[in-house]
Amino acid sequence: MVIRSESNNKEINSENSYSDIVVLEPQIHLNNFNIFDLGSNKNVFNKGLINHEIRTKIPEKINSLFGKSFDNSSKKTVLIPGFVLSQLVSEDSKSLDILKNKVSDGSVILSSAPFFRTSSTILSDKELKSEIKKHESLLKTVFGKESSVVVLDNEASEKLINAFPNKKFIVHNRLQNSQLQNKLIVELKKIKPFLFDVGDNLLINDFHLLTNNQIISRIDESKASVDSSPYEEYSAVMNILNDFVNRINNFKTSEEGIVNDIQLSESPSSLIIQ
Amino acid sequence: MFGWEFPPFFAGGVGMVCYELTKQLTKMGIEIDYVMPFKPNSLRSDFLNLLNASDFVSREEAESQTSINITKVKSLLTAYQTEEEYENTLKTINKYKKKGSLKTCNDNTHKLYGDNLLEEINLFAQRVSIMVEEGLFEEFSVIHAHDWTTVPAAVVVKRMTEKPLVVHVHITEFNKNSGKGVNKQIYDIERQGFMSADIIITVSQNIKETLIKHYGVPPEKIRVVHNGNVKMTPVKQRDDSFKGDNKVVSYLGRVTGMKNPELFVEMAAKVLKFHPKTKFVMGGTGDRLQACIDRTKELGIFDKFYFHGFYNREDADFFYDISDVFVLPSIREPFGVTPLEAMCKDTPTIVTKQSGVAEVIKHAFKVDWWDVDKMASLVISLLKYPVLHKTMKKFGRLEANNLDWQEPARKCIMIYNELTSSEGI
Repeated sequence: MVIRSESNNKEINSENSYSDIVVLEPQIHLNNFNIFDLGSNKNVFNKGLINHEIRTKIPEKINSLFGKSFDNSSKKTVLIPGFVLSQLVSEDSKSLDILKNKVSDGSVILSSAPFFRTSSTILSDKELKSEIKKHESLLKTVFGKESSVVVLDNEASEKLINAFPNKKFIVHNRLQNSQLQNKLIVELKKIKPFLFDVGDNLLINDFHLLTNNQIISRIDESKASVDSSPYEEYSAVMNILNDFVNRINNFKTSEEGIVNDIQLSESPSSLIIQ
Repeated sequence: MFGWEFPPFFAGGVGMVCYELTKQLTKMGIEIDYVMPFKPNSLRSDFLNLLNASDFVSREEAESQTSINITKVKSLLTAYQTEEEYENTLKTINKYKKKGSLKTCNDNTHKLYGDNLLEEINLFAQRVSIMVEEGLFEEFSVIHAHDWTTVPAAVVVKRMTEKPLVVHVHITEFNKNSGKGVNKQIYDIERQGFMSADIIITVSQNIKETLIKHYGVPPEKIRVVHNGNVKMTPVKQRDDSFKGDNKVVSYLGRVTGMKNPELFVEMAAKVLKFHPKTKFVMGGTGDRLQACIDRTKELGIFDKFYFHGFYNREDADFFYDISDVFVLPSIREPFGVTPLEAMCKDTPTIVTKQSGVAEVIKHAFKVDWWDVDKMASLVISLLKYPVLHKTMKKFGRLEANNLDWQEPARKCIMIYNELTSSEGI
């Protein structure tokens, strides 16, 4: 779990700027997925996004973040993505209690985002709207309050802003639109409708996590370092997309009893049996 | 500076490293006498004073060149050669000598160089000590020795002149004989050098750790100076009947256990299942070459392989140019300059995490040396995903071209300054 202050935020419908948004976000790690795992139904993500060891550190981190120096005059905007919040609800009441206290005494301003923090470039306005609403309803259930801020990673359309008239929209420009990111986003967009057609919930869930802006932002060649390679991540995601397509095809052909050979393509969407 | 080889007469990468380092150092105003065990008459340098320890190059000849001297003593040894390999070389040479077909080897070879590698190294030390006694060296401030082969000579000079000694470690016995045990005598010479040195330069963090762990060298005595790279221009679209419409994956380097060539063959078999139109080049020779050839036959992929054997600069350039992916599968690699050359030549590169070069490059894939599935997966990804290939190619070249020899030379000069100022010179 990373509790991160995100800066470089831009507010769309107001002149104020938000220098600090605290995001509670588990580091999403792709399993070591390679070409030889295609068609093996291997889990794409580590099971349990927040494991036990990390979970025990969350209350400590939250306490240190909202510690002694924190007073009501400097309110903090906190984003707890939907999939993190739902896991905290089911598994970590201690952290949740601390957060509930902070929200009720007004020292924390809640913010919402697409439920999975799915990269907004992948989703249409309609889908973004429903994702944000899904997150809102969870916030209301847990904290009894709605958010006053919406965090997106790309510019929001006017239509979307109008759909939430009482909220401020903050854009955190995380995607640099590198060559690899662009190629990936094109493919993700093409594959998405087919995945939703098939309606396999596990697959759709994986897809949402795959399109999480945390993953896409890591696939940026300008961010290469000695320790982490954006190319490796790109290669893994492309392999996973090929695997998705393979599964989609299997769903479609299983009734006819056709088993397809595993194929691999630069454009996985082109392999989908229409 | 004491070195065992100097281009174009060299066997391993160290000769090239010495050449580039001394070239840059002289540009930055350092005067170097480069002392070698043997120097062919045709060997010249316009920036070094090359000194020949065997037949003492005449003063007039040395002075006719500019700021750097190179000296070389006749030898069958190379810096990276194991004792076993050396003995094989000697046997071969003696065989040809009996047949009378080896004109270059004169009858005095044995008298001059002894029967084994260790004797030759000691002989080099003796010759150098005579050179010091006879005052054949000009006034100098620092002794800089490359690898264990020059250690006895450098240590002798340090004892006689009390000048500070820098030992530059490109490889150790532990790296060389990975998994095969070490030669006690070589280990002792290395250790003697490390203990006598005032400062030790290692070419990677990896070697630094080896020195601390296996030789008991205090960490504060070691400085890491990563190697630089030479700028090269890619010449793509070479006409090659071998390649045709296939993709080419290449391996260039000595074919020995440390370099893990067998894994390259295993990887090739896996790649071919997903990408049958691929050919593999293995350049270089060594004790595992036959095993690799046999394995390709067992796997039924012999027709997909091209074993080039020994390669020269021109061959290497050609292979980089036609390659789509370059792989360095080394179990341990002190530094490994070939991936940088490949990157300069527009070839996306896969290196092992255990290689020294992985400490400095960003725009390359890094895998564990044993992870054949991942290695194969990455090769296939590079062949199947052109956007990935194109992006790695672009950023790899930019990065490799930026790694020049100025930084390593600057670090060496800082070390020289540190030593000379503490010595009060």
